[in-house]
Amino acid sequence: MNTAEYIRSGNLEAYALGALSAKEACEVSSAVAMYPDLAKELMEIETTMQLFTTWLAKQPPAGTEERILGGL
Amino acid sequence: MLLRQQSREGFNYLYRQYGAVLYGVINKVVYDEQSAEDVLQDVFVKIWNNIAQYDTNKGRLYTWMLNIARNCAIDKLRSKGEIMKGKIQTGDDIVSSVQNGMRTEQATDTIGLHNMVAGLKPEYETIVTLAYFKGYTLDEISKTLEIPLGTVKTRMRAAIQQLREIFSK
Repeated sequence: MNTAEYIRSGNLEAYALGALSAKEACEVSSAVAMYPDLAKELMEIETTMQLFTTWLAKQPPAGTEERILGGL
Repeated sequence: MLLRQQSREGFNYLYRQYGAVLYGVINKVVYDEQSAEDVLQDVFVKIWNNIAQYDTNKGRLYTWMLNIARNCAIDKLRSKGEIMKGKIQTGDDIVSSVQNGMRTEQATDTIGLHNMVAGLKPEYETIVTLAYFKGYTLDEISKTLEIPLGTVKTRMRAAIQQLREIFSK
């Protein structure tokens, strides 16, 4: 596989953004398991998604923690 | 370790560490705060019940939890029928707005995609929002925005790259 081309295609981003069908997502995870270059790139994409979601963080309403704990 | 023992301290740690992030994502998917809180509860129950099975080799804990939160929130959105309604409106709004000569920024504003990351190109913002927060597939995005599938994917790549630049500052 030409991993550079695969990376350029945006397949990994589509995977990380959850936009693939179950079958396509499965293909991407197999490819990632097989090629370290892809795994490294996906790791960076996920790091970016983490920074992005951290930026979105919002404190849940007061009392939510106790409510959830009570339901566990 | 605390997490695996499923202790109260473990829960408190998990909640304090990730509660706000997960809630932020959920609330971006389902705008209504009561629904978002319900989803957050479901998410923590799911995380709690599955943490022992969480495979550290398969990926990072954070990403694993984020995926659970996103999936639960999108399920909620779909169960409320909002997504189908939203889909049609989104498509129509964008198409009619474009036909009316509105710029993409204004078109996305009408469907509530604004207030995202400062500096992120509007067309990237739209793609990220539709995929990550509204659960659209590549195909659905392609049809809604009337752009080829390959373009959707390369735009996703460009969007993530721009986010990376913005957040690495």
